[in-house]
Amino acid sequence: MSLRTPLGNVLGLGSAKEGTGHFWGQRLSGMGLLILGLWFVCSALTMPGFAHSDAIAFIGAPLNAVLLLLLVVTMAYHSNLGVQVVVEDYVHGHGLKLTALILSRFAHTFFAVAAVYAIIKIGLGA
Amino acid sequence: MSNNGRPLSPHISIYRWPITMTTSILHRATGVVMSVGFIVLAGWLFDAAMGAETYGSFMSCMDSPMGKLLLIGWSFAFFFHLANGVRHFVWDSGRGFEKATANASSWFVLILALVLTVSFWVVQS
Repeated sequence: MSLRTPLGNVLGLGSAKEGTGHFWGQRLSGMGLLILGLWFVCSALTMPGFAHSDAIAFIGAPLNAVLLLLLVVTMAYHSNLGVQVVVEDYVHGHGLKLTALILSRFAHTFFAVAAVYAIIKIGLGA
Repeated sequence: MSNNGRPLSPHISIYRWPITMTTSILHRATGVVMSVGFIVLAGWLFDAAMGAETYGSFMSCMDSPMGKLLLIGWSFAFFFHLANGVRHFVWDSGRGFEKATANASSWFVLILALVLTVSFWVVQS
């Protein structure tokens, strides 16, 4: 028999025993996006143009490709966390909420994989 | 209604809208807006990989007045969410919660986001 109080048993666990994982994931990806986002905006300003050849040259440059991969993966992760909270707050009804959350996760994964594939394809000149 | 001069609990219809509520909901709104923008970013990369023709039709969409308007909206969403995100980091350290400070930082990030958006498009063009 445990002598711990019910409160003592749950302190620090957070909801659904996930603790502060969502919070930390959001903050750290936010910090990453602060840097990657500013880099992307600066790149957009310094790109010689937006013709197809310019885009290929930009995306295909090794450092740009690596930073773009980090950008799209971090962005998909951060966006998924954000949309998740919005759905949890505004979509009512268990079934609808769960459906929306699953669709959001699938959509984020799909567009992240599409972007990653495109960057690697261009980077390798395939 | 007699309340003996005691303060009334604020209710939706009689609550004076503070600027912090604007920045609060705008943070969420700009986040959702950029989630849609992420699809366009992925589309830009994917269409570039597909070839010059696909990329061309994507870019002509973006060059249309509607596309330009969306891009300007996304740039504001980006700068606001970024500035207000830093404000959240400051809050995470336990600072900046005083009413006057929170109001001032609300105005600061709003104006900063507008200035950055305008500067971006001035430099860009």
